[in-house]
Order: sequence, then C-alpha cells, then structure tokens
Amino acid sequence: MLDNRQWRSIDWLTLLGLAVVSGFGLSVIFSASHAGPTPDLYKAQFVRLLMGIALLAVVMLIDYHTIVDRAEILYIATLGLLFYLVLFGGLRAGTNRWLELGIGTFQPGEVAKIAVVLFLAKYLAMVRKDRMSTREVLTTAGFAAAPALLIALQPDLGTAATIGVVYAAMALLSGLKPRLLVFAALFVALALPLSWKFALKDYQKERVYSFLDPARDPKGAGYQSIQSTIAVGSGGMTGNGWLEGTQSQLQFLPTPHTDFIFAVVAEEFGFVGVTTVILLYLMITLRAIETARRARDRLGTFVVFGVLSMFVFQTTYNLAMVAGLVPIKGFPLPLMSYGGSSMLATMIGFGLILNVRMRRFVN
Amino acid sequence: MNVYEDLKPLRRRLAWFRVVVILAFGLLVLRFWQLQIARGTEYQQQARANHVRPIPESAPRGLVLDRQGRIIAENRPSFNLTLREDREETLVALERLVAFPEDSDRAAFLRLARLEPALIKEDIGLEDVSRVEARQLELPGAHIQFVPRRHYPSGGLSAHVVGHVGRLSEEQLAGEEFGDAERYDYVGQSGIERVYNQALMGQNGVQRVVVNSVGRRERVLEQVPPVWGESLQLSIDLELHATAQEVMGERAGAVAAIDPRNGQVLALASFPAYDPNSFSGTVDREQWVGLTSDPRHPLSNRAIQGRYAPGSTFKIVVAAAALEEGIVTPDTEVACTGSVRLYGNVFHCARASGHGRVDLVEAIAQSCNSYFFRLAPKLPIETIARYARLFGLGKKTEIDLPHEVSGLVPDPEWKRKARDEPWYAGETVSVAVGQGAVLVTALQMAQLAATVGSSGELHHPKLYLRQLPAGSLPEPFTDGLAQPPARRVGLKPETFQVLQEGMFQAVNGVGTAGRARLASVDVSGKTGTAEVASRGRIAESRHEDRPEALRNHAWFVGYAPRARPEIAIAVLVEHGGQGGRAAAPVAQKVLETYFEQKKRRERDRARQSAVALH
Repeated sequence: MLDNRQWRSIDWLTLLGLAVVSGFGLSVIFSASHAGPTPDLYKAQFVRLLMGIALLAVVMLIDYHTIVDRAEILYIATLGLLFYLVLFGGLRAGTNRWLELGIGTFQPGEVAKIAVVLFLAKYLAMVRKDRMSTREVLTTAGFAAAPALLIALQPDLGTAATIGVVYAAMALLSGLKPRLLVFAALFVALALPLSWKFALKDYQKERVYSFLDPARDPKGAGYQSIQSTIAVGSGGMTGNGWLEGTQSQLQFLPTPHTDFIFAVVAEEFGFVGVTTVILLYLMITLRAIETARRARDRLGTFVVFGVLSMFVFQTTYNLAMVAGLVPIKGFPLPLMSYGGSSMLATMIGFGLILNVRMRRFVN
Repeated sequence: MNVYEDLKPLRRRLAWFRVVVILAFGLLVLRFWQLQIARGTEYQQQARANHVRPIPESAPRGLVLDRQGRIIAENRPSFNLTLREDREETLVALERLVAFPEDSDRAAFLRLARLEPALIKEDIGLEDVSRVEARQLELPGAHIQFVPRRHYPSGGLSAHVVGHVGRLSEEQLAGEEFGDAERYDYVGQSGIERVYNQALMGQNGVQRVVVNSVGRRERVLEQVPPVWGESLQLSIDLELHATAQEVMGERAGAVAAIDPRNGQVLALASFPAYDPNSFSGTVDREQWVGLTSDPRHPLSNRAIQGRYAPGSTFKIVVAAAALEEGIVTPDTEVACTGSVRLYGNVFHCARASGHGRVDLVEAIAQSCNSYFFRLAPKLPIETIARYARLFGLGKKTEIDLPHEVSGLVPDPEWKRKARDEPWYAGETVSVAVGQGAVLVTALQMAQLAATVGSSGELHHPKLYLRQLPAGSLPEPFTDGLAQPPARRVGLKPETFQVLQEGMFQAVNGVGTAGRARLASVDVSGKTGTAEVASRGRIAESRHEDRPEALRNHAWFVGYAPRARPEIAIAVLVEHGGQGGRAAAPVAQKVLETYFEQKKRRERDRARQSAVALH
C-alpha cells in the first residue's frame, strides 16, 4: 500500500511530539483526579489515546484524495446528524451536543468540524484563481454557516465559533481580502448588542460579565477565573511539584482535568513546565505549517491548514482562558484535556496532516 | 489532480500565518511569566489563604493564688461555636440546631467569617456541642472551639482585688495596652487580672489546617501549642477576706490590712461584693445593668476608690503634728467640758458631759474632740496638711491596682482653686478632728496605722508576691518578711511612743476601741466616726433614728501586736454609726483570724519538724 519513500516520509517527529504531550497530559489528568471521586480517569483517557493513535494510523494510510472524494457524503451525513440532534437530542449537561451511542457518548460537533474542514478544503482547492469571487465567498461561507448554525442551536457556541474561525482562516489562505473579514467583524460587532438582548442565555451573559470583572461574584461565575489565575500564579518558576498543587488537589480549581488542565500544569510544574509544553505545541504547529507549505497540491495545503487552524485556535484559546485573558468557554485543550471526542478528533486531524506530508512528492 | 497549481501565494500566506502563531504563543508565554514570576508571590499567598486555615487555641490564663496557695482564679473548660467561612447555608442550618443569642447579626457573622472566625455563640452547652459535632459534614465552616474560661472558686470573696476578665473591646483591640491579644481573647478588665494581664495571659496556640474547597479538613499543617500563663501569687489571705465578709454581713464598707514590715496587702475587701464569674461567660445583659445601676455600687472597690472623711482616726496625724511642732508635750493637759467655743462657733465633743482633764494619750484613747479643737488655733492648716501628706494621705498609695483615688488633704491653695474661696480658720477646727474637706481611703488609713505601728516605716502596699511557672503546685508563701521601707517618716521617737501609747490605751485601757481587744495579742487602734450630716437636728439625733444615708461612717484603724506589728488594719463601715461599735469588732475578728491562723500554722510546722526528728 505504501512505497518506500512514503514510509520514510512518515513524520516521526510530530508523532513523538503528540505522544509526549498526550502522555504528559495523562499524568496531569492523574494528578488532577486521583484524589477525587473518579480516580481512574487517566486509564479511560489512556484507552482513548490508543484508540486515537489507531485512528490516526488508519486516516494516515488512506490517501487524502480518496478521503476527500467522499467529503460531500461526510458533510451531508454530518448535517443530518446535527439536524437529528437539534430535533430529538437528549439533554446532557444543559445541552444536547452529546449523542448516545451503544458504546458510550460522542459529540458530533467534533466530527462536524473535521467534515467541514474536508468539505471546504475540497471546494477551495478547486478555486484556481488567487482571489475568490464573491459567489465563491458566499458559497463557502454558506457551507460553513449551515453546520455552525445547527451547532449553535444545541447550544454550543464554542464549537460554532470554532467553525467560523476555521472558515475565516481557510478563506484568508485562499485569497479572501482581509478587508472583507474586517467588514464581517464589524457586522458581528453591530449584531452583538442585538444578540445580547435576544439570543444569549443568562449563563452566557454571566460568563461575559465575570470575565470583565471576576471579583464581581467571587463565589459564583467569577470563581473559576479567579481560582485558575491563583493556580497559575502560585506555580512560580518551578511549580509545587506533581500531585502537590493545592488549588487542584484541594478542589479549588474547577474541572481541573478537562478545561482547566493547563492550570494544573502551571501550578504543579511552574513557568518551566508551562514554557516547555507551549514550546511543544509550537513545535507541532510549526511542523504542520511546514507540511502545508510543502504539500503536493492546493488540496493538501487546505486540508492541513484547515485542521491546523482548528488546532491552533482551540489551543491558544484554552491557554488564554487559563491565563485569564479571555472569557471562560468550554474549550478543551487539544491532546491534554480529559475527553474522548476531542482526543479522537485531534488524532484524526493529525492523521490527515501526516497523510498529506507523506504524500508530498509527486509520483 | 496533477494539474499545474500555483502554490506560491498559499506559501506566502502560510509564512504570515507562521509569524502570527509564533507571536500568539510568545504572547502567552509572556502572560504566564507575568502571572507566575512577576506576581507569583502574591498568588502564592492567595493560594495559601485559600487552603490554610489558622485555628486559634486559646491559652489558659495563669492561676491567681492567695498567699497560702489557695486558688482565687482558675480555668474551666468551655466551648464556643464559631463560623470560619462565609457560608450562609451553614449559618442557616446552625440556627436550626442551636438557639442563637437574641442580638445575633447574621450579616455581620458572614462578613466577619470572610476574614476570621466569627463567634456565633459563646459557652454553649454540651448538648449543643454534640448536636453540631454529629452534623459536622453537613455544616462546612462551622467549628466548635475549645476555650478555657475563667472561674473564681471563691466567688465574690476577693472580687475587687482579682477583678474580672472580659472580651477585648474594639478600642482595646486597636490600642496598645493589651499587646498582641486577638479578637475574642479574654483579657483582664479590672483588678489584678488587668494589671498583670500580660503575665497571666500566656500565648495563644494555633493549629494550621489544610482545608479543601468545601471547607473539609484534610490534614494538620503545623501545630503551635498554647502556652499557659504564669501563676500569680498574691499577698492577700482569703481566710481574712472570708472573716471580714462574715462580720460585715450586709453592711457596705471596706477592710484593708497590710503587713507593716513590707507593705504586703493581707486583705483588701470591699462590700458589697459581686461575683466575678458573672463576667467570664456571656454577660447577661440584665445582670450587667443590675450591677452597674445598683445604688450600692458593688462594682466599685471601696478600699481604694471610696473617699471618706477619716473622722477621729485623723487625730493621729494632728497629734503627731502638734508634738513635732512643739505645740504640746505628752504632758500637756486640756480640760474637756463637752464643747469648745472658737471663732464664734460652738464645737462639740463626742461626750457631751466632757472628758475632764486629759493629756494627749488620753485624748487619743478616749477620742476627745475638745483637746484637738484647742490645737487648731495653734496649728496652721498648712502644717496639718504637711504631716498628713508625710503619712501618705492625699496621694495614691501606689498599690498595684487600677483606678485608685488619692483622697484629699485640704489646704488654702486647694480651696482657692477648687472653690474660689479663702480658707476659714473654723475649717481648721473641723479638720483637726478629721471632718471638713479631708478625705481618705481605707487603704491609706491602713498604711498610716502601719507607719505608726512600725515607728515610721512607710511601705507602698503591694498585692503581688511572686510569679510561679505555669503548672507548678500552689504552695504557701513563707519567705522574705522584712523589706526596706519605701520611705521613712522621720518623726521623733517620743512622738511615735505617744501615738502608740494612745492607740494601745484606746483598745486596752479607758478608750473607745475596746471592742477590738484580743486576749492573746496586744492590739492598738483608733476609732473614728465620720459625720455624714454635720449640722442641725440630724447630727444630734441618735444613730438608730436616722435614715441610713445620713448615718455616720464608722472607722477603726490599728495594728497588732504592739511590740512588733505584723498586721495593720483599717475598717470602714459605711453608715455604720460609731467606730467603736461598728468598725472595731470587724477589725477584732479579722485580727483574731490572722493570729489564730498564725498559731495553727506554727503548730503544724512544729508538729512536722517533730515528725521529721523521729
């Protein structure tokens, strides 16, 4: 199935980076949950990591052209699933973003992101000119907006926003005039007060409030932000040591094994640990950018860039949230946060990136 | 798909993207540097404040003992209910379990609990303790604090000396006096408890525990055990107090007794007394109002705060002045006819029929007013004042108790300042017999008796005997009897001999103080009857016929044994009538107790050494 050169072109460095970060994530998940009511979370996550690597391998081995050939089917199936969820989905944790499967639960939003990336990549790769026409812009925006809207209805504004950001990034790469994007941003800014009044739920408003002033309600919505900042700051240069973070071990930090796992890293491993992990993420990212630049064709570039922009957005947003720079949003940290859907989606994504890299040489 | 594609623009934009990514990650690293390095210490403190809770452990106060090692003040275990976190749900749940005090301010509890443990209810019963302890898991933040509480086993017997403890007031918390005392600490609010608070208080311990986010204790981080306060042995003898209280009964007044050899205060009792135990728990509002508004003023210490005219006891001072100034000799006689006319006024002697011819010793023993009235024209008021001050009157004795008053030794200068009037010669006549403006305290008079008894040694009375290390066994104080006096009252020996003879005769010869006589010991003393109402019908009416508030104050001051005095005493019975009838018997009983106890102790010691010899 693979020729020699393709074997040799497997990106072992990225694989190593993924393994190191994920493995480190397991130890932090252990630290964050071992004293709590669910001390075995790291085991479940380990299984998902193995499943993720297996998926990565599978996705990597099938030529991405073959995969993208079926992008429409994937895209339409995803839309159908999202429709189904909005209409019939059971509520879980206040939202119906979860799909109950026989073997467990799954968040179709994660699949949707991959499907949208592949579908957009396929469409944008067919644009031969360096500048997109208005029609092309509107069409591709529509492709992205349809699943984003359905997801927003769940309501899962975070995933919807991610799709929006990924679309914007891919459109920019494809030659969308940045000016247009500025207009779009202005439009959103104008629409915000309206959505504030009519669309946003109270808990969402509360999150914005508490971001703007965490001390407003230190026991309530501002609590997470304050406790996260304290956890990060108290880590100092070298941290309290593994299993020694008081903020996480004594449960002052909310969801220390999922969204706020990086606060645990910061508390227990300090600035040294934080910088190391950030550098690893940066290395993986730069490597992927290289892959995008060296891709054999437009399709490859867009596939890599779509997956990558998603990865970078989620990573930077999560880190900025832990550092108290942006409002709290339920974004997991790719590779490290506890959670199956995110892990599998990330691994599938990197399967695609490695896929493109292996096949960068024209036969 | 092998169509030619121009990938250059894509690669160019990807290079831009790379710059953006590096900038974004770099910015994040900078932000983490700011949080962790630049402001790390600040956040470390916040993290510590999050999970480390100091739980104070009150230090038991030191014991207060009397000179025989009897316990005056000790501690009993008690429990306080506190709230350590501002959890409204816990407060609500607690309220259902335990009846809160009526003036509880729930909002204030929560506000305070954010900073430090808020005291919800003091000295709760064991039932409440077990009720709260059993539901500890449902009551995060609630805490039962063990607190040693002051207890005075002898009740009001020495209330005015030992004083009482009470919670620090907000002012005291901010002020200097109580050093490092913390909120909710009990500190001495009066008496010895206040003067020696620093020594008695000891040092609070603290237990630093690690709690999790719901306030559950995870482990003890460190433990600093409380340090007991040192024990304090006082010079007073509770047995003398008990006797005094027994004899005084319901009467108001004061008994002060000191050791003339060293100034040690043997007794300092004020009546009516109060129970200092009522202050060491939650002070019942009603009880407090009762104590402060009681017309008999049980809270004031009459022995050092009550200012009374000394009456005839002041004749000791006047006699000393007359002898020293050469106005009289011991042999100078005066014929007493029952009254003396001076400056156009008639001054009456206590015995209307007159004492006949009396010399100075007889005049002191029989308390003849006429003798002293006749001295007045020859003794300027300034001279009397000088001798009064020489004996320590008119200023504080410097006893180790707060709020002592200095009394008043009047002179023309005082009168000009206080009343804007000149001194009238007639006033000197009144002062000569201890009436008029002159005011003394019982303790000052005991000091005076001690000085006369010891022929001029003046000691500042002192309650403090010694400090004992915490936990040492209470034992009687035996050593260190004689001490150099603070001051010597340098009168001629003959002067003291006359005064001493007069006081001896007052008790043992023909005198006014016969009721102070003891069979086994030579008691010397002087009575006094201080007039409350000095003019008109009332002054001439019989004691029993007067309303109580207008009856005379009864005095006795004296010492024993005559040869080498060990105890000097002053007794004041408010509105008790004649000193010889009302005050002398009180002194007699106290002196009797003193010498009986001494004999008992010597017997015991002899028996012990006999046992040791065998």
